[in-house]
Amino acid sequence: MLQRILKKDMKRRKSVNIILFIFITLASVFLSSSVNNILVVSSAVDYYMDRAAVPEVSLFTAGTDEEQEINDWIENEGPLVRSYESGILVILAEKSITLERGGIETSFNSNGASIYLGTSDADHCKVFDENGKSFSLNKGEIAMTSGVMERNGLEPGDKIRIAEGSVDKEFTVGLSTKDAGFGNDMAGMTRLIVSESDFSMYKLNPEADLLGMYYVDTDGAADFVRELNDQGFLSVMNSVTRSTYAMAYSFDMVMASLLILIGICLILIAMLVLRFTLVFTIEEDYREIGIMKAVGMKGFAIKKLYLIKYLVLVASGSIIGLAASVPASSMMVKGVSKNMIMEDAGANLWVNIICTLLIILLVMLFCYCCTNRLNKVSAIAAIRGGQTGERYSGRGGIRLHRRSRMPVAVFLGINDMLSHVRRYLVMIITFGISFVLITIPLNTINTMKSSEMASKFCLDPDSAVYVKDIEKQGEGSFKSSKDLIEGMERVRSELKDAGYDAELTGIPIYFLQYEQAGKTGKSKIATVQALGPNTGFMTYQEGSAPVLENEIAFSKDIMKENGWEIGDSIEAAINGKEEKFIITGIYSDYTQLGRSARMNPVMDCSNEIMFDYWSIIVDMDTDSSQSEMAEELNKLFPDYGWSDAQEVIDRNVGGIQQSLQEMMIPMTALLCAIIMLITFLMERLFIVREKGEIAMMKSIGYRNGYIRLWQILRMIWAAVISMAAAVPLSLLANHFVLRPIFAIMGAELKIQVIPWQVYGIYPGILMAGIIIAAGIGTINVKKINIRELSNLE
Amino acid sequence: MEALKVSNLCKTYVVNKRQNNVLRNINLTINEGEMVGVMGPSGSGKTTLLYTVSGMDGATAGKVDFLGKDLTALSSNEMSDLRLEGMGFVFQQMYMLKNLSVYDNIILPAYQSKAGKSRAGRKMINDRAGLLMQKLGISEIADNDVNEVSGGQLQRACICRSMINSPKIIFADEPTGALNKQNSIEVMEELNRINGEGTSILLVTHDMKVASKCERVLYIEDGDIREDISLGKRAGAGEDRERERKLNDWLIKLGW
Repeated sequence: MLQRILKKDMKRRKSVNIILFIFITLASVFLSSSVNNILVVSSAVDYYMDRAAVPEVSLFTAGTDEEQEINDWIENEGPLVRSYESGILVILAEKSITLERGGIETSFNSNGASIYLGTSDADHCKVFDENGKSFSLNKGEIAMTSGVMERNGLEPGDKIRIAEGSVDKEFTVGLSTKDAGFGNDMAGMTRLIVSESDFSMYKLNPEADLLGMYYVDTDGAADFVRELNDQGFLSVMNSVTRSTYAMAYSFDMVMASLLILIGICLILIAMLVLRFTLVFTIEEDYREIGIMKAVGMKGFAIKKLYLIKYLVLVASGSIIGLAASVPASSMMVKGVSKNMIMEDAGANLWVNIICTLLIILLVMLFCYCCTNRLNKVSAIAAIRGGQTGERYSGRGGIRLHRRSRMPVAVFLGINDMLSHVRRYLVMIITFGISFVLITIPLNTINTMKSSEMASKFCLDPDSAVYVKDIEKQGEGSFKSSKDLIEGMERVRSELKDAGYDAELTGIPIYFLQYEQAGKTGKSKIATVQALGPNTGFMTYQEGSAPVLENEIAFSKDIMKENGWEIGDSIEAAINGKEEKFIITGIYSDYTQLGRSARMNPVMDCSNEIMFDYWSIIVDMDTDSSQSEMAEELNKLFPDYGWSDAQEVIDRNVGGIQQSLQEMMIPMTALLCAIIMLITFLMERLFIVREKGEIAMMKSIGYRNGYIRLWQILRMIWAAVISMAAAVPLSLLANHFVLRPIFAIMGAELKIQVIPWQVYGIYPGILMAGIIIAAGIGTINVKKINIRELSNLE
Repeated sequence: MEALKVSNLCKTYVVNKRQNNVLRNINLTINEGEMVGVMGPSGSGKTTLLYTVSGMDGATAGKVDFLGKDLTALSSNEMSDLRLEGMGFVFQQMYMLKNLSVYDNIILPAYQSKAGKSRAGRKMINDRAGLLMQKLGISEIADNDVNEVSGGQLQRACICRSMINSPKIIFADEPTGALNKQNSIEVMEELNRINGEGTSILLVTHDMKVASKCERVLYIEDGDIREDISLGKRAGAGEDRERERKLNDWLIKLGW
């Protein structure tokens, strides 16, 4: 008997049961994959750092002259050192590397990063293949990150020639790597991996420029760095803590955060929709439950019947959802970062199983509570759809006869929404979440394209173009600001000969040691100095730019860290002398992840080792855009790296903008598909419920098209309300989600909102999806016969 | 003058590959201002006849002429327009939209008609709805929800709705089937009054008292009109007893 009733119910109420089944499956997929992704992604950087054994402190030295002293100090005096390992990398100039593709020789593009040659045998800062596995290379093979390979158009099997001093060798690209320490564009370092024997050739070459590396595991990274700086080792260039490495992945975390946000939203949508569908379908069952009660069936027998029905539905739906959630979460996690090794989302199957069980439990608990309510309801009340006929509050909705112009379809849509606010609230929230979600990557992209972003990267957004890699072939990297100034002068005169009257402003980067006598210890801080006519483009949060020889400015984080204030006196070791400076300003930008100093343009730092130099600002009168200028000059002077501001930013944020832009279409499509599916299923559910009313409308002369218009308009009103609600929510998301993400990088900036995109095109696409889905969902209106009037209770 | 002319109308349902001829070659004419009742045993095809001649359900064969148009040849939209402007319906159950007040349900078809497109038209519709409600004695329930009023009041509201576009014909399917005796009398009085104003009515009923109010009564059996009887125009309540007796005799003769 029970089986027969269930079988009949499943067959007869096919539409409602199928819709409920689909929603349970979706909820299961969304919940399982999202919880799994959130767990994986939120610990992604830590996981990657652990896996690659990135040390607490990495120490970089110019050459190995002080190797013994540094080793002795770390071993005997280094604070809280647990263990350490040292190694050597060979510094390569970009122009010493050439590629050969199809018989044509081209130059290597390092994307402005320093290039090092190393091996894969260290126990720290390990390098893995694309699948996260250890690897070894044969003699003559070379490996690099997929980003470097992509940038240079390299494929496994391609040839690379490295000519450094007297060693000139051709390598075959073996594979692409994932390199936690040197693989992120934000780190500004690129490591090429070769075999041990090949590396020895370059290392032992007397002309080789070597970089000493010390990987130190310590329980007090800050103390270690502070005491190291106090030792006054001349060759120590910089020390990088694990947290700084982790920060270099903060832009990768933009994608990760987005995935977490999508996950949370999908869970919310799944729960809302599931609850709504359950209430809707159980209400549909009320009438039959009433009839069963009326014919004398016992409460428990009825309850058992419905609990079994919902158990069958929820079990089958959630098991299918569980199966689908594993590839779904793996696929989503894969798209988060090309730079990182993520934990395999598929490996956490237990998370998916727990989530699936949770869905089953929630649904059954909900059904149990709903069926329990029946104990208190009389048979006739159940037949009336759970209503006792008593009503204590006024009817919602509006009056048709008071609308002298409003078309009936518009009225009916609005009236439906006002009469069933809770029903439509689910849809409004779902649509609203989708609208807000779509604005986040859009605003991120637009912020990255903004002129404020350019200025935060030490670029004058109004300049004509930027140039990098101006060293001559075989010249090697510039070692001091003097080399840079000479190089800039050469480029300026070459430009003049070609008819471009340009002014060049270079920004060398030094690591200088600062202290406030009697107050703070010594600390090495990346220091930039604008050398050239254009020094006024840098902005300051407080105070003013350093102008005089004894003036300096620091980033907000440095000021805060050291407890310095504007007007304080600071000492710096420059050219072997202690120089005194007064702090004149505080700024925030992305140089060295927000921890840097700006030296006045007058101070002579030419005897200091120049760590690197920033993209040179080229100013001239031109009507061309930066990208046109870059294209033009790249053709005329192909040996130099001409670029526009966007390219410089992209280079420094690891192509995140491109990743986001690439993600926009699939994300819009995914969101559109989700809300289209929800709209379609909801609409079908409404139609099942409103068959009688639709038949009645038809009987009094309403056309199918007009009835469909009424149904579609309801969805549009819900979407319009969602869009309106999404505007302030999106602004809040900018403030509470995006600003902190950008701030992790070291600088706060205004999130750019381009209204026609954020409030026009993309919501428009989603709106079109909603209309199409509602349109498809209402096709069935045609099939409703006037005879179905009997469905009107 | 003919309001509705049905020629050779057939309606067949196929259930589980078995053909069920519900209407067989029905020929029927309803004149303007005529009130025709349809009686017959359960399953004889009364309701199907009503739905088919009103265009609410398609015919398998035959023709239905209404206002010079063949309903069987009209598109779905043309049929909707005709139902909106030219026909009124009263059902056994009082079907109304639950989200709307009684008044809004009444004006619902009118606001969709040509007159309802303009502000002035809507004002006229509101006036007419008020007048109709007043005539049918339900003015006081105008702002009520449909579940707040009695069955009789609701059926009268349904009659108001069927009348709101001044249709040429009203189709009524057991209009008193769900009402008590007093409410039934009131509803039939209203239908008689409307008919008296020139609106044709085709009414399906099981109730002899209701049918006796009609000018002509058809007896349908096995999907065919077996016989009909003309009772003449009803002049007033005084002749009801005589009309009922005449109809009763006729029905007994038919084996009712």
